[in-house]
Amino acid sequence: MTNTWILRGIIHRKKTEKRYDSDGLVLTKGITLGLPFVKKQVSSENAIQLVSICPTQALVYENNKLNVYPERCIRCDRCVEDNLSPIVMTNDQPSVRWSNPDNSVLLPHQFRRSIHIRIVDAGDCGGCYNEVRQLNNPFYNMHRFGFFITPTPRNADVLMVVGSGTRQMQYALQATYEAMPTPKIVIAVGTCALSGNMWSKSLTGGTGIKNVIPVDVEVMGSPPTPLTIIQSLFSITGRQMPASIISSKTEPPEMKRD
Amino acid sequence: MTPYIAYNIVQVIVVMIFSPLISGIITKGKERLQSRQGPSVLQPYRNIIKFFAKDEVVSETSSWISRFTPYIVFVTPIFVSLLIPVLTDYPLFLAFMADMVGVGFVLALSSFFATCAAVDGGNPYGPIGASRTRMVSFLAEPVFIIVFYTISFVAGSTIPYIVQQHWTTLGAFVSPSHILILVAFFMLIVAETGHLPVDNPSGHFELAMIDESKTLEYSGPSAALYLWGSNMKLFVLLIVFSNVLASPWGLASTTNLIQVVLAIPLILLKVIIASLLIIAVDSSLSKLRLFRITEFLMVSLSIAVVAVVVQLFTV
Amino acid sequence: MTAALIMLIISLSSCVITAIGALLVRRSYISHVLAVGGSIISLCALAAGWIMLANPTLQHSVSYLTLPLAGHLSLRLNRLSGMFLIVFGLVCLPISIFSLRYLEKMLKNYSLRFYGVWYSSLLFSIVLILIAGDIITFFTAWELMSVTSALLVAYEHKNDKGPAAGWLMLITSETGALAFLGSFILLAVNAHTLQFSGILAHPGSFSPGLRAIIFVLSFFGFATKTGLVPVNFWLPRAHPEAPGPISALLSAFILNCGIYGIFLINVVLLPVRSVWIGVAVMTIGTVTAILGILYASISDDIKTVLAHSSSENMGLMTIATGAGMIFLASHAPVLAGIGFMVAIFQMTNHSIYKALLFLCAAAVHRQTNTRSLDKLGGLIKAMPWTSGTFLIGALSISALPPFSGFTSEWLLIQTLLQATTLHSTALELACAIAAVFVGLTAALSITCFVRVFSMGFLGHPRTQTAKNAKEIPHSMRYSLGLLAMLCIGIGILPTICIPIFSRALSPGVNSVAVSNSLIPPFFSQIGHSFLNPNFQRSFLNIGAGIGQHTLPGSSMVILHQGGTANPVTFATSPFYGVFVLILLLLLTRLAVKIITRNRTKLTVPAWTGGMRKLLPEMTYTSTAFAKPVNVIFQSVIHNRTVIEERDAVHEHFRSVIHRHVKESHIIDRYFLEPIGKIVVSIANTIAKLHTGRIKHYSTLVLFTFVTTLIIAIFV
Repeated sequence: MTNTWILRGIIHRKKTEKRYDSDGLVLTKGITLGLPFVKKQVSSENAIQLVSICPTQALVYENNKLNVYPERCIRCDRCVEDNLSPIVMTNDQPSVRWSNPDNSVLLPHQFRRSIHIRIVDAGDCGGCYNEVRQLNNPFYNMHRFGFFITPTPRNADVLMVVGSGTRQMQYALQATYEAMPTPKIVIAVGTCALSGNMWSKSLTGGTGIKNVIPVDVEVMGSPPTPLTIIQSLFSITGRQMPASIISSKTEPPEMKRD
Repeated sequence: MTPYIAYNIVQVIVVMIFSPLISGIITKGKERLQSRQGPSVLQPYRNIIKFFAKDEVVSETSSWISRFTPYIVFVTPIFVSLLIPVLTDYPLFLAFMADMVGVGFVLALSSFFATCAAVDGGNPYGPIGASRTRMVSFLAEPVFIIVFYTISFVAGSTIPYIVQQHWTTLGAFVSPSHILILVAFFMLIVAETGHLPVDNPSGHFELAMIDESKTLEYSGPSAALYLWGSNMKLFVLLIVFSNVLASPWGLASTTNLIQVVLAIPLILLKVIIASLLIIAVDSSLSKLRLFRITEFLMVSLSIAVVAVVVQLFTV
Repeated sequence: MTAALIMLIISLSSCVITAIGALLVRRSYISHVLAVGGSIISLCALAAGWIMLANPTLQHSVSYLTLPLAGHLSLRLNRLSGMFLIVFGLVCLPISIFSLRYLEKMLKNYSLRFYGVWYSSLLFSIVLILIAGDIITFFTAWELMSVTSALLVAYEHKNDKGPAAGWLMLITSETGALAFLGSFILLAVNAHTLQFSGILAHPGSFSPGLRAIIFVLSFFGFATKTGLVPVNFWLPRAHPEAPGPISALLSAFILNCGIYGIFLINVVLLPVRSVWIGVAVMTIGTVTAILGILYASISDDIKTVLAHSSSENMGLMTIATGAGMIFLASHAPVLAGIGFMVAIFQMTNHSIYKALLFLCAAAVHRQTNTRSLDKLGGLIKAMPWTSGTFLIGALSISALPPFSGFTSEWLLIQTLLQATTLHSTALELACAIAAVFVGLTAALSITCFVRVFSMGFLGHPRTQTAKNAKEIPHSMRYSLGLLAMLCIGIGILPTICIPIFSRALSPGVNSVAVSNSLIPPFFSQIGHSFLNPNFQRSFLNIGAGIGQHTLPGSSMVILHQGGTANPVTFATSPFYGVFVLILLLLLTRLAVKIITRNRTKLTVPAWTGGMRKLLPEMTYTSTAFAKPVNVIFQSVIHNRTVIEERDAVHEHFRSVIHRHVKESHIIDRYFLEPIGKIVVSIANTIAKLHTGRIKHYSTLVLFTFVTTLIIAIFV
């Protein structure tokens, strides 16, 4: 029993990040790698050229306009390699937003400082799940906000899904959603969960979990950083309101399959 | 008679109110030793309030057993808190209802229903946890009995109030059998309340759970009752440990209201010190393999047996 | 006493009438005759027992027949037999009602005519054993009981296991009967009388050596019937094979006859004077209890579980008896009284809840056609009545408050803890070890019955038959309900029952001039002169005085007074306990109802981890549930030896390994099989005489003849 862990624990200072205080986000910028943004419109040839490099159809040329849908972006940076590119990666727009901004429901006030999260890995590559696993390491330590990961959907208030919702996981996802008592909120974490990423073209890959269960909050990034995910949890309790929660959004066009 | 009744109710309220705090302190302390900031010590209260605010989902296979179990799990620690010296060192209104052996049986009643309900929910992980909890319980029971035997030998009684009176003299307090009993009883508390090295209270892997997998099927208010009940069970056991066995001082000895109120911070201090011990054990040991738990509890049994033998030959 | 005698005569004669009725009426009415007859028999026995127990005179003998050589044959009515008659009546009444509809199932395959005759003879013999006043009556009745019970166990002879079990039961029972017959002969020879009352009058004519021999012989004899180690191998084999009501009767009452015998010899006729006899009895009880519950915890067949657990309960009774003997021999009469009272208390409780559990098992067997726990599950939806009563039985047998097993088991532990007042380190240590094992047994029995209840009645149905089960008919439900009510009643009101139990043994313990405070002072005697008035006052202040005169009996608190340092040694009050528990439950329910009034409740499929379909085969079985017990106590149970056989397969010339698992009970391994080997080796030695030559045989005949002549001349 007399090993050094206790001593170490007492001697070492806290390693937890100070960027949040207990009541919310102090610093919203700089917590992600940034999302693509169309700085200026370009000619159609250039636009089609750009669209063709994008592996996940995040860039779409529609109505003579180059549009970017950040929920599909995996930050491969192929579109911004050229200095003259009309696309920039910016931190201006938050990477968390409501899936349905007009009809967003916050959790009641009792949930402000206590959320239990059920995580479902619906076929991710391990990247997003790895970030989710960082949520409670000594640096991010989401327990201090009252956010906990729970082993059972029966206790869960939040269903956090990573991965593209593959065919084999669709039933499990639905069963998990149905097993949760109301009020419940679904957070789709990462490009895969939002749009299916590269695998949306395949037969079993799945095109995001929206087709399986209703998604409330979208966390963009591939993978999103742990701070972004924590930010999404803050949003649903009403403790921190990122701008995008109010801003409207447009639905991207249907994914083209090969 | 009125103060006896009133203090008995006060005792229950103290147990009900402060039990989540102790769980909060244990969690906070553990996270602090892991270099984390950790949740607030008030987090268990927030969790309980939140679960009460949530809707409930019950499984199709469940029967009335599942619906009844959260109540019995919630009520038995309250029942026990009527019997033990929480604030006063004299017996209160309902103290005659059971002695320490009886307390063991009352807690076993809630464990019986909890185990049945785990199977009743139809959750495939429930029976695994049920079977394992029973394993820990039946291994712990002989230790309980032998601790009671030593207590009965030393104090001549199994009524907690009388036992508590006995240890107040310094000679009895520092006797070897008393120290050994303390160690054995503490190991029992660790095993019974699902702390390391027997069970990992912060683990999330269903197949590795012992205590927690019984509660997987509960949601909403039932989960709140269950959570609160297990917090109270830990609190009550720590009260027995600190007030009856480890430090029988600081309790009110008259029916004076001020004295009783002053006893509350004192007993909280004692329980917090005991919970620091639990934090230390939790942070320094790793989880035992399932069938090595036998060895942990057999060590506890051996310590208790040595306590009896020492006592037999010192008199 | 005359009233009791009349009741007994009615009871015995209705046995005869029932037997004749079963032979005469139409086949489909036999079960009705048995139910009505059995009810009358048990009600009369109950009434007679009550009169006998309430009677102030200690005992009463009636001689009914005079034999030329043996003298009078008599009936002896006393409180001990009164107590046993009450238990018999309480158990037999529901069993008889239950068998009314249960026997319909047997009617398809078997004629019930002889079943009726054996059943009424069995009841006749039980009543006769309990009131036998002399050795001849007792032994005759005992033999009748052994034979008829064996016949009933073997009644379903179309099963292959039934007749074998019946034979085994008969053989062990006869061996035991021979052993205690030996002790009876020693008693009769030394006291020069066959009457129990006569033996009682000559306590001085037995030397310590003789006492020891009588103890060993009689204890062995009765232990075979009671099912104590090492002669309980027949019990788990015979009881499950009997028809439902019979196995209930066997476990719930016939095992008690052995306890009756032990009490008769060791407490009433020849009270124990040596501490070591007590220690030996306690040791045997401890081993029986722990082995019984270990095997109960791992068995799959629901009736086998119950049979093993009967063995365990008999062990607990024996521990209590042994503790009582230790206290009796070390001149602590009050504690001895508690010890024996606990034994009787435990016996009564066991009879009631075991009858309940066996009848529930019979009901489950009748409705689902299986006794295997692995094939049941989810019955609480289909059979709510049976499940509810089984739950009450399981809670009682697990000794959980406020059900009937609690007070007796709690008192048993407290009695063992009281060994600290003896001034002998060895005895204290022995009692401490026994207490530890009682604790382990109690915890294992919770484990065992949690498993039986949850695996048999809760969760998913594991087979189609379990899914399609139907609830039992009304008459069967009532009998289960009656027994369940008794479980709850005794559990809540032990202070009313305890004086009755302690009364049962009062003549026996009085006969060694113990003290007149035979009702131990803690039996609720608040306001009684035993207690220190100061203490009474302080304790009354703290609540024990409430309800003192509201219910019959002195009060509702069991407490044992200690010395000056500790006014109370132990105290409990299941009555107040249940009251407070229900109050707290209601308050909590009310509070939760108010808090959650706006919440909805949704019923969804069980959470299976996102599995598409949870097949019944994928759920946890009772065998899996018992695995921890199996692993931890492997060295004791070690129940399977794996035999591997290699066999060549003709394709590709590979060999396969066949694994056969052979199960053997620890008693079989260390007691039965060695004895079998010795007997076989003796037989083999003797068999060498069979040479096959006629001259050797004629020499043997001549040799035997001459030896006999020599013996006849000289002796």
